[in-house]
Amino acid sequence: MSRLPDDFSASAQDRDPAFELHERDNPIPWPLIAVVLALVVWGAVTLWLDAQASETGTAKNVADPGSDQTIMESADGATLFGDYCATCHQANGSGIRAAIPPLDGSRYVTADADVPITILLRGIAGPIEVKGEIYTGRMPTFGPTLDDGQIARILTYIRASWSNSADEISPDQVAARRAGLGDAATLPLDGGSELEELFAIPTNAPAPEADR
Amino acid sequence: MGFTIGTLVLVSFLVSLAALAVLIWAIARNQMSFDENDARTIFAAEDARGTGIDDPSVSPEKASQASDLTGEPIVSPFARMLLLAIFSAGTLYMLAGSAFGLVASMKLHLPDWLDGAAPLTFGRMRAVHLNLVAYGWLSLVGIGMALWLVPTILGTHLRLAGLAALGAALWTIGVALGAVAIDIGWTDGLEWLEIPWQIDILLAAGGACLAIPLLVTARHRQVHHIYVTGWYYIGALIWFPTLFLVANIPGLHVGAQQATVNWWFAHNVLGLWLTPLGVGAAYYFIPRIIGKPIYSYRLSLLGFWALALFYSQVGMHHLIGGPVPTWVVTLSVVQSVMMFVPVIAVAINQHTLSLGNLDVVRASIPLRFVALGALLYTAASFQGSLEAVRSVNTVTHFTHYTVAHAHLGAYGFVSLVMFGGLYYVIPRLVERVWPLPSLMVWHFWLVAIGFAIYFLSLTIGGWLQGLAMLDASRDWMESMELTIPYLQGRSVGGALMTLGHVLFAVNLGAILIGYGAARAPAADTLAPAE
Repeated sequence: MSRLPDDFSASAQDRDPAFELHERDNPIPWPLIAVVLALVVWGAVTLWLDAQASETGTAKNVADPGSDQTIMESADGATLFGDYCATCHQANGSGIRAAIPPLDGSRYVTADADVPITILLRGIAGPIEVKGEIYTGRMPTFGPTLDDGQIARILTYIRASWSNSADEISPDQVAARRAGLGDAATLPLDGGSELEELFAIPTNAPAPEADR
Repeated sequence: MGFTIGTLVLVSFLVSLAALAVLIWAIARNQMSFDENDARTIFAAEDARGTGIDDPSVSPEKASQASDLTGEPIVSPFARMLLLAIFSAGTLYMLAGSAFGLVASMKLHLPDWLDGAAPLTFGRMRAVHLNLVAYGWLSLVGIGMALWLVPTILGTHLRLAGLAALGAALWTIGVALGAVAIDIGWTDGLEWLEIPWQIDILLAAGGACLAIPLLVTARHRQVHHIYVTGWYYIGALIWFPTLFLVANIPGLHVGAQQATVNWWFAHNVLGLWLTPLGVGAAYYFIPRIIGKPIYSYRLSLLGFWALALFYSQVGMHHLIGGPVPTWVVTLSVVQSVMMFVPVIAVAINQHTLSLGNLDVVRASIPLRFVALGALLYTAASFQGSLEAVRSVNTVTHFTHYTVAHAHLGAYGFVSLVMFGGLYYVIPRLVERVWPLPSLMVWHFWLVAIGFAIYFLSLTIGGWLQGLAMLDASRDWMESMELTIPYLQGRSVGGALMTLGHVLFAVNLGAILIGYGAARAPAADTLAPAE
């Protein structure tokens, strides 16, 4: 086969101008037919399995309302932290700048055991100052969701992780605090100021600026 | 087992496949038994026209005035001006779209750059980029290809050319107004449907004004057998206006249903509009330039009808994990994987020809673009079928991997085929050869290398990003930070591509204002020197 010219200025050309467009009469190659049949079988099976699952679900796929809770009740602190806390506070406890306060190095986390227990039971709605930044998010009220043992394990994990180093917390401590709060247990804390009232931890928060 | 919606879907799936098999078998048998008649019909039309449009024995002036059985030239002087106007407008949209895309890309690793005004923010510039390249560049050039290819393969002149010109003008204005509206913050708020519905009326009317002349032209065809390119173009011109109308009617779809319609439409823009325009063009240019026939008529039938059957339900795989019925998503996953069938059929037909004639691919710049684009169609489709599978989608969803895939289809495939088509058609319209041939070679290598950098960067970066997001022990910010070098790579690739586009535009400008030697009939073939 001889080489075609390198002159690209003529390149909008046809090799055989007399050629008439058409398609030859070759059969469909058998490997393609095999691929088609295999895909049809796969597709039918996939849709059939889906038809089985869509109406009521198979036993394997339907959650047993009890079992999930049982597993979570016995899970360790790190697992519980990953499930309930890390979405906001991040796996490394760093929080998110200007949105979610850090747990790593937070004076509230490593304070007297009642402080983090109260925060977790009641949640927070109001400005709170952590490591020099003011956060105004809403932390959920976990009191009704988590039992005493779960809260104790989460807090024990947080208080001993990253650069934190504080005492373990026992389920009994959580139970005592829960009983002590009574009806107030489902009301979120009014930010750092209520924590200052309750536990005398200085807010360090400067007075809000009038023009904000 | 109970009879559920899922069972109904399964039964419909099997029945429609059986119907498809019967349809293809029937058409193939019928056509084959009339094979010789078909061939003669084509001959008669070509004889009556007097000359093939590329017959080297006639002067370029005469060749350009190849006429149909009614004595009208196939491409009238009016159609010639219309096509050049459409191609020029498409090229301008491509330049603007490239600029918006490049700036949006750079903003992902230079977030503080150009952040002074809302129209310059990423969210708006990216949407403007998408609309300019999808509805401006690809759609307009595709419409131009339709107005040239359909009359050419049907052996008759374009009917209602004035109406087509009105349609092209409405479309061009609609896209420009849409881009401005999006950039000032007035949008419908759905991906691929950002252009406000009030402006969509212009596009819908323009699309109708373009579809009608082509359908009327098809009715007056001078050949009995419609070449495969014609099926794709006529199909696209019926499918897209329907899709566009249904998806854009305001207030018709709400909630999860709206999301379903949104992705049904968005994916069909690629599969039932841009894909047929690109595949149809490749089906014309590859055999035309090489001068050898397509491998198999039956494969052409399988490729076209399987695309028509499977593609319309593909889009909902974007909602895997979303709050839509499981059967909707599963059907979409199955149909996405079934797309292997038409893609393999087209691949056998087209690649056997271009890979078997690499000397022509090397010598012809238009064919280089078209053949590479056709190869990337196969790649993009295989990749898309796999991405729709739930286990792969778990990693790739919400990552840059999807962006790389979208560009492999819309750019690697459709844009490259359209570049090749423009390099082929425009010299025939202006009767001159390209004045700056070295720029064509530069254009090819800039976009080929630029796109390789673009695609590999985002594919690797996106996959790593997906793995990082799935790893609960890693901070979410890590999944963002690790993509930065890959995003920088994407900007480098995008800059090379944009530079290639500028070279193309310079060449187009030069040939339009009169540069370039007249097309000599003797030089009208690529035949090797003896």
